[in-house]
Amino acid sequence: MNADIIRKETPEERELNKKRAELAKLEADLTQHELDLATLQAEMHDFESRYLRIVGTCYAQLDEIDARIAEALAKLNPNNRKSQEQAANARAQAQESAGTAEAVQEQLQRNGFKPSEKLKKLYRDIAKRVHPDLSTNEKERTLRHAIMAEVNHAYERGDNIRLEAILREWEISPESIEGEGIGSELIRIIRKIAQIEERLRIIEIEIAQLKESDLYHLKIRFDTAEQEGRDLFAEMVAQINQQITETNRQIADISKRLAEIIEKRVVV
Amino acid sequence: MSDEQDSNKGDLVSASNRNLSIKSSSLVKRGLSLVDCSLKPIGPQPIGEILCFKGHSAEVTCVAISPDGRFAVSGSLDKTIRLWSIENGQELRQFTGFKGDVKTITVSPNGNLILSGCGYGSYIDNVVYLWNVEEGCELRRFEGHDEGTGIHCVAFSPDGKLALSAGWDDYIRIWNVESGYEIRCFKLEIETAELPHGSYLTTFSPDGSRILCATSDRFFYDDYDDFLELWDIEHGCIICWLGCYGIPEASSITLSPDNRRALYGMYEDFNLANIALIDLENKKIVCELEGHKDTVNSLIFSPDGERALSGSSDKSVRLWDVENKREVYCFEGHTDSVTSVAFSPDNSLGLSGSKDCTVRLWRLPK
Repeated sequence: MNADIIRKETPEERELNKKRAELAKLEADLTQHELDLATLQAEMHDFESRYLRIVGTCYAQLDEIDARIAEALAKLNPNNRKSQEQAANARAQAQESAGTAEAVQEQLQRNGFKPSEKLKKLYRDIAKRVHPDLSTNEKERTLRHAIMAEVNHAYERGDNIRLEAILREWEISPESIEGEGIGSELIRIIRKIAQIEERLRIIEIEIAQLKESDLYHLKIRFDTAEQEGRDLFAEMVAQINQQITETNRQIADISKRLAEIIEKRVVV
Repeated sequence: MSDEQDSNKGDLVSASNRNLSIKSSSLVKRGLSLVDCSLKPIGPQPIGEILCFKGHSAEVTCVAISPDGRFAVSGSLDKTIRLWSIENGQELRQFTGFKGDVKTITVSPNGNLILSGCGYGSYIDNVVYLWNVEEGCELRRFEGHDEGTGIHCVAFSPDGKLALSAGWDDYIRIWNVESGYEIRCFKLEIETAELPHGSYLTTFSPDGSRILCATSDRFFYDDYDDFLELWDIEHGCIICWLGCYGIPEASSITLSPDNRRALYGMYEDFNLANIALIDLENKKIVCELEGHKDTVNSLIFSPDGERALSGSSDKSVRLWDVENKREVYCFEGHTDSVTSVAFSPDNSLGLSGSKDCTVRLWRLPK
């Protein structure tokens, strides 16, 4: 080997290689973060729909009975504005709860989002290739955004087949071929790095926001209880059912009183 | 084409999900407050005092926890036994009708019955009372101990069919719980009438075929210091007599569930009151556990035999790791001497009664 043949690295090339390494690391970070966010969102959606299906339905029942009580009381005191208002509010609440409970019934029933390692790997593989922040071209970014949204939905559904199809389509599409420009590559990499850093920041904010939500706090309690061998769903349903029984007793009393009053009026 | 449809569907799902999150937030909030306010707490529980049962008007002398772990029972010099809920701390029942001060109680293995005996007080009560927990009423009286004598301790056989009572008349009497008849009695060779509270213990062996009787006291120090006697229920004979030597008089005694070890609590001596761990098989002291500053009034082994609780006149309750011979935790809160201690069946909770008229429930470290 002749030493002359080995070309010496120019300062730009050294910088380029450094930035390439930095970019590679950030890209790996980004795919992991996207996966974390997508997993958290999917888990929370899944928990929410389970919670609403099981506990929300009980609340809807309870609210319906509460509304009937308020309405009966309003009938008992037709001149009392406050009880009229209360009846209207209780009815609105009951309608809202019933609406939520119905909406969730229509959704696909899934029990527990537990992504397999295979599904996670598939997600990472796709995100590594398709992520919008890996492109600096605005038009391409829009396209990648659309694909990524679909990837997220498929991941949430646990749809391996769809994810594999997306990956296959991407591999044969022209977008998968990267540009050859040498002179502007350094600039392109620097911009990519900036984009990825921005996206990482946003993901962290989104995760933090999700973790501050009531839904997340509730989910944590359910998870902890499950680890302790408790079924919080059953406990909550039992508790609300007890309230329903109690409220039903009240409504029976009120109905009786109402019947008596009506009878008296008829007699008078 | 089909891809496009699919992705449209995906957007719809996500849109409806997003709406759901906004709509459901009130249901989520209500659920959260229900979980936090009405249900049993979730997650690792803090160690220490959980509940303080108040109601007794005089010193609490004895405590027990029901075998299902749901109720605490306490007896007091106010001549009542009280039943408390471990779930919410409420007083559920009161058992009254004693002539003397309640000194000893035990709950039957099925949790339906409470056996109790009296001692102390201006009027000494020689009757052993049996109570129905569910109904809150007296079920039966076992009468046979001499007039004018009190009861040291009571116990149920492991199958719950027999009851045992040890009286100041130096007799251990065995009763048929169902019929109420006395089926056997053993005369002890020592005088027990003046034995201090807690220093005299009689119980059934784990298989129910024998009776164990352990004591240590200054009155007999010169003759035979400490002993563990084994009586055969069938034949009524003493099977063995284990002497342990060189221990100062005991203020309290407990036996491990397998009856191979005993703990002896001691009186205060120069601001120290140790607990001696005794190997009954090899008849020797294994070690002394240091910590209490005043007389150890009550000792109990945990159901798993690995740990022990002690209550002392220094107002503290201490948890001991018997296997590793060390103090695990010191529970403070009582404002007067602790007279009695008990374990929950799952080893996770401790109960203590005190001269301050309260009963306290403690969560023990794992």
